[in-house]
Amino acid sequence: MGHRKRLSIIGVAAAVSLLVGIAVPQAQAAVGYPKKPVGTELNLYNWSNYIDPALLKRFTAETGINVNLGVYESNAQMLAKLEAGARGYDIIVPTDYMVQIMAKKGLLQRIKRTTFPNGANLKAEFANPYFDQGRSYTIPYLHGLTGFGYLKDKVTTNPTTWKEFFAAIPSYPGKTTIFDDKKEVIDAALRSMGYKPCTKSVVQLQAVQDLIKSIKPNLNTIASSGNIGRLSSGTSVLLMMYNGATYKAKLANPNVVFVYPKDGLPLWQDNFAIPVGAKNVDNAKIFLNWMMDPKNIAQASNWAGYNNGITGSDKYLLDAMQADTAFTPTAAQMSLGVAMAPCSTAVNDLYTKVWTAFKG
Amino acid sequence: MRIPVRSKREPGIYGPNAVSFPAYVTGFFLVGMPLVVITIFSFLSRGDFGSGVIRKFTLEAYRTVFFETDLMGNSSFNFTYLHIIGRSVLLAFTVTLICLIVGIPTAIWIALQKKSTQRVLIALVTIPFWVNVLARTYAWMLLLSEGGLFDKLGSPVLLYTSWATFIGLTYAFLPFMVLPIYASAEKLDRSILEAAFDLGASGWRVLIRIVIPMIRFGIFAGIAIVFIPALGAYVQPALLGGNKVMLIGSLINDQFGESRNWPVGSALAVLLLAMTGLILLSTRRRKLEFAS
Amino acid sequence: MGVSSLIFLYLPLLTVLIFAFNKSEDATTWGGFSTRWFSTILDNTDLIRSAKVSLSIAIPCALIAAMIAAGLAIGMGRATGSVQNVLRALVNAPLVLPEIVTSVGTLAFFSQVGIPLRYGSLLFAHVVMCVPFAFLPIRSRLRDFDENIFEAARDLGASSFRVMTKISIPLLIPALLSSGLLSFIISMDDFLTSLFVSGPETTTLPIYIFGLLKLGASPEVNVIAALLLIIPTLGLLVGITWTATRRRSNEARHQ
Repeated sequence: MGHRKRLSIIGVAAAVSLLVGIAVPQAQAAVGYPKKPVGTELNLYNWSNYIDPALLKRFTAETGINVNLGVYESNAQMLAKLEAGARGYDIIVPTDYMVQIMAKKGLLQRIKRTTFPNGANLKAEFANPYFDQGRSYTIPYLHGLTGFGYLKDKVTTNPTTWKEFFAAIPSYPGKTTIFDDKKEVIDAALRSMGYKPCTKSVVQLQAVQDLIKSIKPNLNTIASSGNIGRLSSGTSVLLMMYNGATYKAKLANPNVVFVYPKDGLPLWQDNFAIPVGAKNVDNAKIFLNWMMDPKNIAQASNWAGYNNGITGSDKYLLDAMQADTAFTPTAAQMSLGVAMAPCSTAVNDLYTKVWTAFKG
Repeated sequence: MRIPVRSKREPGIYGPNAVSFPAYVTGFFLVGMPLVVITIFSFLSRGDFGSGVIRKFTLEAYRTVFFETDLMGNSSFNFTYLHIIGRSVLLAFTVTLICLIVGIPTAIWIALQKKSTQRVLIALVTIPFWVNVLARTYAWMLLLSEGGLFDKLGSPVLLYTSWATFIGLTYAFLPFMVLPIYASAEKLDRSILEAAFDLGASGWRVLIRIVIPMIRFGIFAGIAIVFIPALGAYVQPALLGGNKVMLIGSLINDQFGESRNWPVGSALAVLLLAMTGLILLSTRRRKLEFAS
Repeated sequence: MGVSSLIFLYLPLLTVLIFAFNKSEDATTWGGFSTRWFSTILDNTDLIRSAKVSLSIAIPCALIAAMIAAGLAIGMGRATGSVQNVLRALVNAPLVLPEIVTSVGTLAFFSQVGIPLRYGSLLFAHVVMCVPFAFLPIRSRLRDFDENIFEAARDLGASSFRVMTKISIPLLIPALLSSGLLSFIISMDDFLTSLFVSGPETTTLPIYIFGLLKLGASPEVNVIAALLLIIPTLGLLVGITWTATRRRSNEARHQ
């Protein structure tokens, strides 16, 4: 073959492949909702013990997608893992303030929720949260409040505030637990003294540090998970608890009581989001859509004990659960809840100082 | 006596030199480079909102480890971190000490049995080593918990205390102490011991003046193999200690995870590395004859 | 004293074994004998998947680490050059350094170079950890050999390559098996390095179990812990009796 002819063939081939190379990825990036699953895997990175295994099995049966579950214990841990290079999670479950942080850092993918078949099933009050206006990054999973729980046959003083919670701890040495979550603990301690979360005041934070250090010897463990079992079995009689977890503990032990502390408590919302670098984006969208089906999200609620943000799910929720105040706060109790918001970096560093001094 | 072989300096004796290169490459990139990287990280600054590192030289990380400005703005030695480091050293030291006290007699006892019994006993000592450390730690969670065996026998509930961490660590590392000491002890020349006894020496004298010096290389190896990992332990404090008592291992884990301060985590790792180096150096000189 | 140390070593293991058969739902108090919890773990897809992940890492790791370690032992011969000493010290470093240091170092290195935390990165982190362990049996076996064989081969004009393929490797086969087994166990059991370097699809068995342990004692965990005990022990007993019978038959043959 002639030299020039060979060159021109190579040239044409290169041009064609360049065009194809540009064109093909665009064709692969599914805009909007996928028609069917791509591959059979979905990597879900969720809080420990936070989704019904039977629900995931049903998802697999109905869609043919296998769910690989990884777990974490706090938002900070989840963020740390992602930033350390763990790319490939398809769905994560960040709490409200963490969504705002991650969106700002460009770690979340935009989802075209309006193209989802179930995309409009949002309860009105969950459609436009401060951390994700218009819900372009997330859909709501479950929401709840962080208060405390106790066994009423063991703790007879009936504490109703964070102040009383911390004051009662020394009376039950070795039988009390608080979360391994610096934001939750420090905020609770601030509230117990009448201060507000995200305070800049070093005087207030010093008081918090002194308080939590003073109760530390009376704690058995510092943990955010495993508390359902601890409370229901009586290993701990007074603990920081999420409301839904307390409901589950109550099912095992009727002496369990959940308290909405009168000095204020955080109202948090957990959400599903697709992080940048997800491997199975289409399957993730299918999962998000599936979780917006009222029947499915209701199963999640029934198992975990928390309410959700999807319309139409109420009729599938267990009656006994809905009647329990741990699940459904009264209006008065609900008014005590304050939505969590992220603190500034400077305040966060102060929190870290307090927490390290406490844990050390 | 063996005639000295001239191949002592010849690399090609067992095969081409080149086949060792994959090992050197992996050693360089996956052992050497990580150590270099964390050393560098310890001199860099935190990324925004704590993520990763940015390439700005600073001594802030080390400053944080050694000195602290508390909330009120007072500077002082950072008692928090120094306390954690001190506590880890103390714990590792105590664990090593108890392992020595239990391990030396055990190893000697095994070495004094007849050969076939020795093999059985060593196998018995080795088996727990092969069981996953999580399962072995969990065993103590069961024994020390409320309602567990120790509770029933009348002891106070030890789970979630420093004692539990200590017991868990000693249990995990005891085989590590026994095996190298036994390796030294089985080479003991019994005739020397018999001679000593015949000359009227008491058991204690024989032990202290003869046996222990003869097995000292095994003892040094055992100390290094127990002290160093005990210093950096993470699993036992987390599961048995109730996550309340921070040790260096949990602190480093925390800085790379929840607290997201990689420079400080790296600085602590470098510190731990330095301490490890010290221990290795002090047990190394005397290891010259200890065949590995 | 010796007997009491053995009791100390085995009491917890026996406890775990016994409690796997605990009928009660309260994992820490004995409620009678039952095997009911054994069947529940078969339904645990997460457990099974993490076991598969661990095996899929441990088996290649054992093979690769054994080969690399053998290469090191063979290729380095009796070399004592200082560069080689430093490199050899590096290769053996994971044996003496605390695992927390090597694991955060590996994480930092991967993130700096931009290597994502996937299967391959975890596999190599494991290999690096296992090579020094794999090296031990090989080194000691090479040392046991009569140098004269190798000397003679070289004198007769054999190339290094021939010496390796015809003499060194065949002689090393039993040691290679030990290396492989040792690496396999180290990899299967590893927790800390896997914790730091694992990504979305690489939740290993120890990581999964640690997550369960943090939730506290439970009947399922009792069973899992007991299995973690039984399987390696059985494997070891098989291995020990096999080497013992081989030794006995060797001794018999030499009489």
